[in-house]
Amino acid sequence: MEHGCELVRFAGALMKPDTAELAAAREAVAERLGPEAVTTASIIGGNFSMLDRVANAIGISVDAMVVKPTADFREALGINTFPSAVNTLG
Amino acid sequence: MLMTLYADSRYPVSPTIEALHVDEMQSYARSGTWGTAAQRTAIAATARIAQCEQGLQESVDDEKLAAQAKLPDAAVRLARAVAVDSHNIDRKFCQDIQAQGVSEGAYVEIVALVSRLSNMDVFARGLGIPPRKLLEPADETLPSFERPAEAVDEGFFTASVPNAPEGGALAESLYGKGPAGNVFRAVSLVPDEARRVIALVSQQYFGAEHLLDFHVTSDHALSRAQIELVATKVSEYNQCFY
Repeated sequence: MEHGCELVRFAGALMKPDTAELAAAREAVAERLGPEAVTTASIIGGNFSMLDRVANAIGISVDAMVVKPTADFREALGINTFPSAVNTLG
Repeated sequence: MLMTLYADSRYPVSPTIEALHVDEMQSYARSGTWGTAAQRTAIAATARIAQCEQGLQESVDDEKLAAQAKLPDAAVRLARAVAVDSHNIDRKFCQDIQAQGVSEGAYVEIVALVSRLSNMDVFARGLGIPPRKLLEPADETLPSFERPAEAVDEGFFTASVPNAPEGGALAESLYGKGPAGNVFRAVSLVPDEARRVIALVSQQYFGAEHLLDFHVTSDHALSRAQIELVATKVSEYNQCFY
């Protein structure tokens, strides 16, 4: 994916205390993708920080139509080991 | 009243997002369905303290607002858990919090409020600006303590308003005509909080009608695939199975 490395680095830094790494990751996104991309990536980071907390704390299950099509990559990525997996997989 | 919120950002923020976020900041300082303005302000400040302790954001000297109300220990525990440890919340934790005196409605309101604040704080962090300072409590209105009659057990930790037709007119007013995914119904035991979460998602990400349309065009500066990459990385960190 185009500029995927820069975006993954930025999203990861957004969640961690290292402010120097976050600043460097932000600059890389701004330089390669433009300043508007920093805004969008930050919006998405905030949005999913919210949704993840809601999903985890309310214990919602994955919608039925999504469970089967995602089985292979959930297993491969280790997502099934997340504590909140029990809300869907039992 | 806040007129501008992101004047100090080097990166452009649309007037639509800025207006939405101004309203968000004001919402923490206003009375809710289960909490007073002072209690909601204190909850927000408590979540901020937990984030600062973890080094996940800088202090903007609004921690003192946590003393705006004497919160039950269980409410403090819940606010802190949602702020920094949500992946470890399970059904037993939810039941324990309620057994210690936080009602089911108050549980949902605290979860939604702290989650919405996280949205604001992570966004500011991404832009490289300090968290926006919390406001003093804005009113003394008593909470309504209204629980929607339509709410039922859908298998979540807390009750929720199901899609129409079971959820009736309230479901249509919250979710529109089509069926809403679980994440949109999650905090619907407190309809005002659900409306806020849905409004944020619709403006910041995609509306419910486009969630599974991976060819949809938008005003975002990233492609849909790039957006999903950022979302996935964040959710991996938060260990969110959903």
